[in-house]
Amino acid sequence: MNRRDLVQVGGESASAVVMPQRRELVLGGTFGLAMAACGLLSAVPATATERLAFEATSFDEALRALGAEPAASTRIVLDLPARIEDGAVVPVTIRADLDEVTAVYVLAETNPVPLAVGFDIPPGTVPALGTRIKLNGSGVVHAVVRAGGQLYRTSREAMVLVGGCT
Amino acid sequence: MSDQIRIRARHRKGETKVMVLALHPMETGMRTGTDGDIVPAHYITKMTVTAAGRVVLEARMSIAVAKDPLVSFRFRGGTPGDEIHVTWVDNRGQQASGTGAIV
Repeated sequence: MNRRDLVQVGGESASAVVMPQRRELVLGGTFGLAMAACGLLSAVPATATERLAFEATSFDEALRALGAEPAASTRIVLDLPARIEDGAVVPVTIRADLDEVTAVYVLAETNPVPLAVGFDIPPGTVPALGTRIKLNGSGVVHAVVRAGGQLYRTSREAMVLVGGCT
Repeated sequence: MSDQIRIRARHRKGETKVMVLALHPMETGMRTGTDGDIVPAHYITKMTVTAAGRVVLEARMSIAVAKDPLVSFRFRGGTPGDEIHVTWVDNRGQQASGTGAIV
């Protein structure tokens, strides 16, 4: 079973979003409780670059908005639960063993707004963070880290049983 | 109201570990409410954490952050008794702030 179309009306903008087809195990019953992890609304007061990244509706677009293509790095650890029962609340932790980390971003490919959160890391703050995001469905989640002016990334496959998007 | 923001900050071995819980619906603007209408988007867009007046973290959030955002992190330094201050603003221009002391 694939969810194909999601039409969003209301809020600050109206757009039609076609959800990417993903391998998803969809269980009935709790859909009503699942919160949408997607959306096109964005009024994030941030730098112009980041604002564009938050408005991007595809993962590639979000990455482009953040800067040059990030280099894959084995020094970033992104942790997610192995099985995610409910995509409405997904704990994630990101740890970067890199010097001069100034920013950490979390992106989810299956969310229509792939950029979930961006953290500014001032000097003295350890680049090891935890938070909770929504995931629309199974797919790849990325941690992108800005360190020494360069972008690096790592990714994990997430298996979501009940998506965070209705 | 401090109740909207819960802060736990503990200093150990030269680092201060901070956990912030901000109560907020983080509505995506895509959910249909019980009245059949779309519940408008309502979500924290920016959260700032300071320790003794110095910014130690800033988070910019989208609707894809889970309800009642929880953020945990650590920073080098910090002294027990220092004040951790958290403020957030949301897409409707609402704000809240809270404080907690490092223990």
